[in-house]
Amino acid sequence: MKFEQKINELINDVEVPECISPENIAIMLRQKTSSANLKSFEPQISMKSKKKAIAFRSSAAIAAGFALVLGVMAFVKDNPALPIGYLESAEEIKEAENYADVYKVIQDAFVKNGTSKEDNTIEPDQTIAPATGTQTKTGQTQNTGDSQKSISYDISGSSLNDAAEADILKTDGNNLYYIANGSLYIVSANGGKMTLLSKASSTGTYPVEMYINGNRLIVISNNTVETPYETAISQETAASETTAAQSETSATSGTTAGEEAQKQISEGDKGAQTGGNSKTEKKIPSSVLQTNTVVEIYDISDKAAPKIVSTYKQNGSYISSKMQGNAVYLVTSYSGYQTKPLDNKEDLDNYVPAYYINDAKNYIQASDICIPSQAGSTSYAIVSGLDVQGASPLVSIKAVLSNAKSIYFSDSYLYIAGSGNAIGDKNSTLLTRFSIKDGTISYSSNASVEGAVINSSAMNENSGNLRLVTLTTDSKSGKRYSNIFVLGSDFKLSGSLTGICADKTVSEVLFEDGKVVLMSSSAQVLAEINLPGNEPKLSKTLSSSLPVMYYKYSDGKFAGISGILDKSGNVKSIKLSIYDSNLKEISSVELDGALPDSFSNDTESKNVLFFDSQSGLIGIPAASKSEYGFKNLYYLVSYGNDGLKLKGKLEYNDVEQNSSFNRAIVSGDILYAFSNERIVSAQLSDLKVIEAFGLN
Amino acid sequence: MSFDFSETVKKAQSGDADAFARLYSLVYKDLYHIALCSLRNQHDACDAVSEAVLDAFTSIKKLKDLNAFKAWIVKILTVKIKKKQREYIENNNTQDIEDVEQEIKGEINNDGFDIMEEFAKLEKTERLVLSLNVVAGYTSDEIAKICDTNPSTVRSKLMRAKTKLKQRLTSE
Repeated sequence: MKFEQKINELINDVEVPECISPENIAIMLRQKTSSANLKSFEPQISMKSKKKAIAFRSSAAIAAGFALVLGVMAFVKDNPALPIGYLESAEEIKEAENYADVYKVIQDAFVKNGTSKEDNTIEPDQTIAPATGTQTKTGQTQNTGDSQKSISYDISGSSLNDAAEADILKTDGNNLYYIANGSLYIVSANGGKMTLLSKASSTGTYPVEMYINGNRLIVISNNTVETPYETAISQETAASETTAAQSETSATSGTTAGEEAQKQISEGDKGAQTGGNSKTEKKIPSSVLQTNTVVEIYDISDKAAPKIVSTYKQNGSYISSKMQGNAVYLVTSYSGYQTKPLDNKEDLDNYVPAYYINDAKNYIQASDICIPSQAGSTSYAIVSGLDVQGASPLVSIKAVLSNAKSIYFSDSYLYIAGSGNAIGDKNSTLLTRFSIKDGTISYSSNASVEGAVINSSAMNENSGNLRLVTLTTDSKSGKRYSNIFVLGSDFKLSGSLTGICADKTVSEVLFEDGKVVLMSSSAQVLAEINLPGNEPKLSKTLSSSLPVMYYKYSDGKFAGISGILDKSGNVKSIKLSIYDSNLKEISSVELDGALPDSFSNDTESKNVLFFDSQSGLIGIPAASKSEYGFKNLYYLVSYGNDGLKLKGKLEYNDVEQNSSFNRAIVSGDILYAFSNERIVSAQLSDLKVIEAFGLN
Repeated sequence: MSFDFSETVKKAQSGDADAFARLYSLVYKDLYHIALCSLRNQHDACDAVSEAVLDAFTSIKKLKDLNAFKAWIVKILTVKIKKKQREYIENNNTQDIEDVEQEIKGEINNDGFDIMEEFAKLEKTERLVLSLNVVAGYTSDEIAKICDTNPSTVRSKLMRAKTKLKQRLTSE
């Protein structure tokens, strides 16, 4: 392969951030066009600041995609009396009294905030939430304080054992339930001799994950619909025509200097915004793709003919879910819902999230919509509680005007972390806590902390205390560092450790009882949180020369995948290791023949490795060289008193990328490995293939 | 998804945000990768792309050669990139190489780590021309037009950048 091609391939592997995805850019641009029609709401500001305002509004509109909000959110003044990095009371959340409350907040967020916060010509609204009659509901539910283990939604290794986790793969012992290629397959396992019992797929919905609850199969799907709308734009004439010709010369012939191009573009902006030229209003038909999340509940008493019991749908993209008893809690993120200028508060479609029970549409009640006092986001996080055994699925539903950047379920609470208003020059997180019980969701409390929660692995509840790790970015100095915060059961700050891991990108966090491990690509920083004092203390920094992916194996033990280097320092193979809770490697095994770049593409998935700590088996999908180029493999490793031992590898002569193994499970003495193309069964004793079952 | 490119450009020129977004969907990966290679951190790269998109959307009605959309928006992006690079210098906000490595390591998969790490060590104009070459596939002459510089300068910078990368990667 040519050098340039190799570079090109590697660069193209770098994922494009969600914030500049075409979908979010479309939202940004729609806001830009609709903002032209909302000028009557805008205060008098300079042209320069108007340009900034557009940038702000755009950023606000795509906030759902931003991990860090840099200097574009509303600024609040530092309060020196507050603990470092903690904003105690500035982020009150109120439940709306009526839709007018919601309308006002959304309108402000779209129109006012952008102009006022950036150019400092206008003081920001201190309270956007309704000013009349609404009491702040703190509704703090007392935590029972038990130390039952919480469910983390990231690195908790695989397992099919945990029915509470939604997954693409489930088994009831006799049958396999597998989501692949946009379809759901129910396959009789039958000792490795598999038979297709049923296959479900429907146009427009794409199954994502599922649960099994008794004789109920709960399938969560994405459903994207195209919503037509008309957008009115003001068209400029005259002034911009001159620069149009110049720009064309610039773009096509390339004879104009870059600076000149910039100047022309800026002038074009001005032309579009001044309104000094003659203007015509034009309505343009367009459409927007809006995502809903669908939950279908099937009766699977007869696996060959599942019967639909009920269908529930709510606005927004699927973020996560959890099953607890017969209740499934569903979290979606809803943004980009506006299809027209926000000029009619009677038009609920334009600003109020909806849900559907068996296709009957309902809007979320105003009293179920929580509004942060300084809402900086126009995205909704929507959470519903469903009774999967009941005749009608919906038990309760809540929405909060906050993007759901990371969420975390404990036994009693759902925590939603969204982008908060900046604290001085530093980004912040708005945390909203809902109590959950038997499908009922109640707003509990909220708090703000400095920095952005790194991801869902960075939140953990222990003995009623929420521990979380954030990454602070100072928009002024450009400095970055991480922080550990501990919030007590009253959701007040009870401990913090700030300014650690300076200028490192912490990508993953592991919690183990009183320990927290912050992992970046070059080092793992171990901190200990001393209970009940909750004051985190830095313990030690471990160095690693190679990036390592960690997965929880069992209590106090982690499994990690890393590379083995040759004499030249290049990665030549894959190594599986077991670490103790201090991240000391206690055993390792080389996956003989595994190509260094063949480990699953889905390394961030919590379930990419198969773990069965009871039988001591660990499964790893990979590939090795063959006479055809490479072949897909599934490695099986045992872990016992004598450490890790390579038990063998399941080989199947599939060389296509699409047929590489994604997952595997062990049922009885049979290993089942799953790819998008087929399910391959093998004897656990010698890993000899019993059968390959085609899925198409 | 198939669509009439020229018709979509015309729609975008009449202010249709979704039409513009469809055009953008054809080039956004290249835009981001060029920005990331040139600016070396995700946030600035996103900023540069967002700013370029806003400018492009506002001024797309000026684009008369409908087929030149990609070259045109890449040119706008390079202006944004150069502006940010100037800001680095003016604000004395240059990242040291360790910072860059940390940033890069956190953003890409392991396969690309070695090359991206070395990529980040190149001089800023070398990064820009090399990314335009290997990401967007532009020739030296086209890059010269986009960057408003001499084709021979681009060729020498490309040659130098590739040689440096090869040397560093093979010596490790």
